[in-house]
Formats: sequence, structure tokens, C-alpha cells
Amino acid sequence: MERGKFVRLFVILSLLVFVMACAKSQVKQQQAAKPSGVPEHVKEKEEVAVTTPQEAKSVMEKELESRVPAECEVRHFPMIHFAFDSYELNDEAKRILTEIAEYMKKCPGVILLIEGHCDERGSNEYNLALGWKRANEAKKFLVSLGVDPDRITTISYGEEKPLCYEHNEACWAKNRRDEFVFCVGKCFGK
Amino acid sequence: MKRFVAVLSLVFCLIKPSFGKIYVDIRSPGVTKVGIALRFQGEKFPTIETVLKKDLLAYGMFRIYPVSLTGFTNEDLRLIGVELLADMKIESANGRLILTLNLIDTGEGKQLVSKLFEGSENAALLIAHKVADTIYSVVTGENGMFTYPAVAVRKVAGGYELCMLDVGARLYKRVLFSNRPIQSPVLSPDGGRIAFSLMRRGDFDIYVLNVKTAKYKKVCGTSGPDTAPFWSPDGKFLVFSGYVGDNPELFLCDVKTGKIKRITRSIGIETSPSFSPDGKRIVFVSNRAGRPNIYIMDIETGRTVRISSGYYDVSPEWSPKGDAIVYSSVVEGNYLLKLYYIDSGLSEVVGVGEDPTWSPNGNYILFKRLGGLFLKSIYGSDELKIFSGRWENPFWR
Repeated sequence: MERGKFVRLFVILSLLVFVMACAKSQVKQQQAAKPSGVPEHVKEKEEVAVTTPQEAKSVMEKELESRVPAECEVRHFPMIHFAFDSYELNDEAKRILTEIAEYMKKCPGVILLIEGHCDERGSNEYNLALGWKRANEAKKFLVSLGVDPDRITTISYGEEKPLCYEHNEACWAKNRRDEFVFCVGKCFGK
Repeated sequence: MKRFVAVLSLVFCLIKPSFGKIYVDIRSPGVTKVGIALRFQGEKFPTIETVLKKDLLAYGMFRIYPVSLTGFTNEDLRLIGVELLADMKIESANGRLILTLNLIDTGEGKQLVSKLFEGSENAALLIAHKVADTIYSVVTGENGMFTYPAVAVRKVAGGYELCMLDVGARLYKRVLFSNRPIQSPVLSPDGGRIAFSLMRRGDFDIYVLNVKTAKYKKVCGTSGPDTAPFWSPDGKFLVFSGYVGDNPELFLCDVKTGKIKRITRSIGIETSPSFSPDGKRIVFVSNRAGRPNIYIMDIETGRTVRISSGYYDVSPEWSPKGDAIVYSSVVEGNYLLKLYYIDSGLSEVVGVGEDPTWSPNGNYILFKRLGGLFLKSIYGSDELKIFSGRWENPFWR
């Protein structure tokens, strides 16, 4: 069952890699095409060079298998949310963080980036500090549960990266959050 | 801008402005507007005419009468409501532009000011601002403001633009674009540099941009996001919000050496500092008592006084006159602009909006509200939308 899930994940991941690679090369071509007027056949040639999804998949599978056990692959955890002008962790947040701590302790190769975010209300200067507090409150909690602080990076976006763009409480509540981004190996400058 | 001012400083004062009579007491509410006729003679410079009118309208105390015909006597003008006549003659030769202004009181037939402004032809904009500021100055006894630029961040699709603003002419010019956040630009007292906070590689640091060359570099930072810089009046230091561990504190940064010194100690958030004009005190935001409120600190002694007790008070800025602090306050979901008077300790609501900044003469505020940047006198209720769009962190010096 677990295995099946991961195979699906790999397919999705590799498709993503493929799509991104295509998108990138297309952008490059467009940029290049503008000034120099690259003929059509050259573009086609470039596209052929892109890794096929099958290749990408097998390369990724091999790499991941050689590095980490299945239970320590990058996992997704829900965001945690905050009250207005608050960086206090509620019970739901603590529950999610406890799960994260267990995962991180089980998997020493996993490192974590915590992004603190705010709603649009108030000043962007204050919100940047508030977002930093929100990210670091979560970090402190993880550390108190025994996670090595060196494995956690925090960042604040303040009010600059909302998920929801309407001006109402439902939307603001979604935007007052910490997001968790996991990574295996060398990343986030660690 | 400063460069232009230097070029332009060939301003001959033929007759000293007479400040004997104040035509408008800017402090009295519901002030009646002064009728002023603008008469242009000599060569046509549409830029000057347009910008001068825009400036005078933005001051909010003039009723403008265009007078194209000559032959009106002062008495004729007075009868139709013209109290002041700005008689202007424009000449240009060899790429130089000369504007002579005679400002006349039509009632007393008295010449209030006679001035000559000279500059290169592409300085027409600045000459117009100088004329408007001179007229404002004669009428109110206060300094003008439209010769000074402002700065702000404009949010656009895909990123952030650091812009210099010409508030009177309602023009802006992009000086820097970044796809990562730019926050809190502030012009140095000499107008030559802009300090701002910029996100690079996941961290905000304090940068300074040279206005002339548009080159910029990081000048100071701590381990956390460094934001909200503000110049000391001598232009040597920046006060900003940085970090000790995970705790935001205020720091002073020596702009030349990048050396920093911590100046607050609290467990809360400290941000948005602004110097008093004498450089001895700063006003800032702290949530050390639970909620964001406004505090004043004496830098030398560290003595700190809380001056607001609202639910959410942020974005303070010390008046250039030194007597008041403007800040924004959230009251039952509304954003109010409030003034706090240092001497009396009283505060009053002066408008609706956020992120206020003082005009260089301390009589107006420029602020943001959904939909744009607005200008209003702190003494009156008229408001003028200066720019549409998503603007943040305006600062005027």
C-alpha cells in the first residue's frame, strides 16, 4: 500500500520535472527567438534533448532509493494557523508540530524550512516581524521536542505571499500561517 | 533631484518676500480658498503651466483663475474674486529657461514678491514647483514642499518597483525592480541616497542606493530579516529593525562602516523606527505590552515612554517640525490616521488610511489606502488621490 503511494508520487514528481524542463526550455527559446529569429527546426532539436518522463522517473527512483528509506522521503504536512496579531501556537498547531518532530527525529537526513506568513492587515514592517515570530515559535516547539535546531531554517514573508486575495476574515485566516517545506540532503543553505 | 536644485540655484531674489500679511491661516479649519489668477506671458511652456496648476490645486487652498487676456485692472480682478495675481513671463535662450514671477495683491495693488527662476529647458518641471512653492510660502508664511521628491514601493505583476515620486506633478520614475520584496524606502536628508529593505536569498537586509548612479549595495544586517530603515538627521546612521536570535530589536547602523549597535532590549517586536528632527529621540512600534503601540525613546538615556494605547497602532513618523507624530491605528476594523502632539500628549484623528509620511514642511501627509496614494493637509479635510495602484511605504522628506 505504502509502496503504491510512492510510485504514484514518483510518477507525479517526474511528470512535474518533465513539464518544468519543457517550460524552461520553451521560455529560453522564446527569449532566444526574439532577437536572433531562430528557425523552427532548431527549436524542435532543443526539445528532443529533454529527458523523457520514463528516464526522469528511473533516475529519481534510483537516487532516492540509494539515499533514504521510504518512510523518510519528503512528506507533506498541513500548515498551521494563527489568530490576528498572534504567534501563539494553538492545539491543532501543536499536534501537527508533534507529528513533524516525530518524523524529523526518525529521519535525520530530513531538514525543514518554516515560512511565516501574515494577513494583509497592519503595516508590512510589523507583519514581517510577526511572520518571523510565527516561524520561530514553531521552530522553538520542535526544538523543545528534541529536534536539532540546525536542521530548521526559518523565513518570514510577512504579508507578501498571501494564499487568498479577498479582503475578508475567511481569507485572512487562511493567510495567517506557517508553511513547512521539507527537503532531503543539502538545501535551504544548510 | 538635488543636482537639479544645485543647477537651479540661480534664483535671484529681487524683492524679499513680504511675509507681513498671512493670506491663509493653514491651521484654521474650513479655511476659505484664496482666489489666484495665473497670467503667462512670453513663450509657451505647457509643462510649467500644467504643473504649476497641479501643485496649487494639491496645496488645496487656491481657487485658480486662468487669465489669458491682458487689460484687466487689479480692480477688475478683485471684483471677480481674484485676490492674488501671479504674473509670469517665460523666456528661453540657448537652452536656458527664465521665468519671472510677480505676485500681486489685487486689493492693495501691492507687489508681494518678484522672483526670477532660471534653469535648463528640461528643468521646466522643477521651475514650476519652485514657483508654486514660492506662492504657497508667501500666502501661508510656511515652507513649500513640491520641490522635494518622495519615494515609495509599487507592487506590480511579478515584483516590486522602487519609485521616486514627484508628488505635485503626480509623476513617478522607477529606480529599481526586484521580483523579491522591496520594503520601506527612505531618502537620505541630502536626497542623494535611498535606504531600503530588500529580500535576497530568503533574508531581508538593509541596502543603500545612490540616486545618481542607481547602484546599490547592502550596508547592514543581522541574522534575521532586517527592515524599516530610517536616516538620522545628519545622514550618517540608519536606525532599523534587526534581530538578536529570534527577537526583533532596534539597531543603529553606521552607514560608512556597516557597524551596528543594538539600542533596545525587550522580548517583544520592535520595528518602524523614526528619528526626531534633532536626532536625539526615536519613535517606534513595540508590542512589549501585548499589542503593537507607539513608543518614544531617548537614545542617550534609553528612557522609553509609551504614547499610544490603541488596539493596533503602527507606522509612526516624527513630524519635520518636531512637535507631533503621525501613525496609523486600527479601530474596529477601520484604519485611522492619528496625530499625537508631543507637548500636550493629546491625539486626534486626521484621516482614514495607512502608512502615513509627512510632507517636508510638516503640514501635509501622504498615505496609502486601498486603491492608491493620497495627500491631505493635517488641518483640513480635503484629500487628493496622487497615484492609483498598489503602493506601499511612501516616504517624503
